[in-house]
Amino acid sequence: MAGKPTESRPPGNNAPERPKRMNWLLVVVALAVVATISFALERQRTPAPAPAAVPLVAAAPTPVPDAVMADFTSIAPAAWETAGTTHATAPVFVGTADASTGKPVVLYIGSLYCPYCAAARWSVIAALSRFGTFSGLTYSASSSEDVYPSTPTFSFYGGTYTSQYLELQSVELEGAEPIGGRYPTLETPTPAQEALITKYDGPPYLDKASAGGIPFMLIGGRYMWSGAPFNPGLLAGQTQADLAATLPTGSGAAAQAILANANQITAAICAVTGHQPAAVCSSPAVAQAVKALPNKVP
Amino acid sequence: MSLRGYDRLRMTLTVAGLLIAGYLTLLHYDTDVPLVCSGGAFVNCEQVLTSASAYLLGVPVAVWGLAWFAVAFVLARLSSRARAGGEPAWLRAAGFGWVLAGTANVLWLVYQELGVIGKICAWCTAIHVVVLALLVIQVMSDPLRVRPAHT
Repeated sequence: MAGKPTESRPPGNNAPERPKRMNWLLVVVALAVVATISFALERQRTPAPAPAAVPLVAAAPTPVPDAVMADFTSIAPAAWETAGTTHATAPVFVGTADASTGKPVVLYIGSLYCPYCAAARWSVIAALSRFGTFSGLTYSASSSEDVYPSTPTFSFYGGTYTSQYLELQSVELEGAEPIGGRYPTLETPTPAQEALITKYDGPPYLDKASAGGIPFMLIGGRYMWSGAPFNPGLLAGQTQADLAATLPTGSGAAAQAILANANQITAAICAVTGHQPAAVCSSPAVAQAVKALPNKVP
Repeated sequence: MSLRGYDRLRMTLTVAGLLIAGYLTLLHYDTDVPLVCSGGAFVNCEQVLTSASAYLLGVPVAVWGLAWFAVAFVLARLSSRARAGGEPAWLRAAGFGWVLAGTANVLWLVYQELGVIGKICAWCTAIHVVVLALLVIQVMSDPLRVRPAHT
């Protein structure tokens, strides 16, 4: 083109011809694309073979071995400090004190199918293991048909938690896999818990689009979380035992996310237990996080 | 089209691929980044990007894509600096090998989307089109990159 600089052409009057094998390459790739799409669509249309027998009851859940639970209680102080709370999800201050006269209540509402709840439970267990003892937890995984499929986690359903400092009220609303197109109901919130969800899991504390979301957590009637504390994708493709084994040293991105959010939950609990126990609440990462807790209603 | 034109197009496409792969990588690591994509019955980015197929060797496919386009950009840059008809054989081979590897991966991902997940992701499809376009450019421009033998 006149006036525009162009690179010099190879000598010769005609542009060099493309070797035939190059044309064949494009044809082969085009055929491969068509074949891939056809094969994939055909596979999608072919119904999966029906299972030999549909169990009338779900298989018994697998209890979490003591060795795995021990990983939550043997997290090194250095691991807690390294994780800090810089990358944790801060709670929303909802402004009212816990109306109960007993121990402060940690209210957790989730569902086993929910991948965001699956992620949250890791941090909840790590944090609450600093104040008391879990027993009867079982292995679980989020729905294989939802986003972040089969995120490894634990189930609070059927488990217990004892602590001299606080009370855990956990409600697992629905199961992990649909039966007849619906997730089975596991537990139902009490009217008092339902009232707290209605009051806090929406505007003005959250935007309208996030209203009613799970996981929902309320600590001491003051600090509220709704939604995933961290990306469940960090847990993908790993077993509970493998992930738990990374907690004592805090090694890896998943452990860092779990511990950072556990520190954040710990700080909120310390704020409502009168900073008890001191050994937990006076650790530098927690003490700093307590100071940074929000204190204004949005 | 002239070789310079092909090279410019190649660079532009690799930059576009880098931007899209960068966005998908950000989406993976930062939940505050909004997902601008349909969530419908067939085009559903969230379902594709959070599926098991969105990971390769435990690393998000978006990260692999970012790395692939970074290398593709370097190769395109080196090619554009080579004199017309004088591109080193190793660079041509590397360009072909890289874009063929990318194409094979695109075929695998398209199969995962349509055959396994049953949904497609608009952003992923854009990246697939870019990779296939890079292959076409590599093939179309190849005769201009080699100095023909003369008697």
